[in-house]
Amino acid sequence: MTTEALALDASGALAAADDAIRRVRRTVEDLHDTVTSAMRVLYDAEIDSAKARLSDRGNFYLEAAAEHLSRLQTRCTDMRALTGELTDHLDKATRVVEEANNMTNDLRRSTDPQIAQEAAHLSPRIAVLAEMVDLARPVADLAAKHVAQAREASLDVTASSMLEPRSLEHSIRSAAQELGRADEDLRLLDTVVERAAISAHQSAGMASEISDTARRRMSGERDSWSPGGSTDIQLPPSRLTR
Amino acid sequence: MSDPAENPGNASERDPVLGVRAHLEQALAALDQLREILPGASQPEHGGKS
Repeated sequence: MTTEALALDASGALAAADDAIRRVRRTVEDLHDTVTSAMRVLYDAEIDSAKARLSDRGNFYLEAAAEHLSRLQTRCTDMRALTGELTDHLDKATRVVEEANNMTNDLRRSTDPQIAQEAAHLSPRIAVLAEMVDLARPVADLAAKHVAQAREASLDVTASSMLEPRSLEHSIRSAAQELGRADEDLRLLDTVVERAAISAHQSAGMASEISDTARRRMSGERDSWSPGGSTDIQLPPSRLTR
Repeated sequence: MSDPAENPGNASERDPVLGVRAHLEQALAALDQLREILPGASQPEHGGKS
């Protein structure tokens, strides 16, 4: 292979490494979304199990909690598939970065100064990608480990088990936090309404004051008007005409 | 009481719901770290070989 072809190949390998790392990043986003969704579903199950214990419609809420837990299992299955994809993409990124690195090292030995310069240009970029992959690997493994353990723990969670006192206590605490947030929203709404009322009251007062002033002025002008006098009433400038 | 997110194993022994939540939180923390390490996903891909 000519050195020119080798240089072209090294550039292609670098682009492939870039793409592989982007695929890793996209999988990280998908996994993040799925884990967030799993947490939301678990939270919904906790709320409904607390309602099942506290409400007259216990069976209805228990069924709802069971449905949320079924969704949790689906999320856990999706998460497992995504951690597999994450590992695969990371493996591929490692391979292509290594290939790009080997090609660039070959180019650096070239006697052609232009090729050697090209290699010198590619080397730092490849080093950055190699470092990214090295740093990402243990963190991705850690994420995969926690996802697997979450899935394992989720197998012990059922709607009925959530009614046990220790689970229920936690669920009620979650529900209380949610109610606290709702209460906070209501307090905020109260404040807004109160401020709007004060503002409306102030506006009404101001309108009344303006109206009274205008009436007083009109009345003053009428009193000063006489049948034999001029009919051109000159009203003084008022706040209303501004 | 210790934070379940810091020790998901213990949380799981006490209550499976707490255990699931703690592990999910740890997974999210690791994924946030990955977001910092890796470049943004919105950039376009190269047309190079894959």
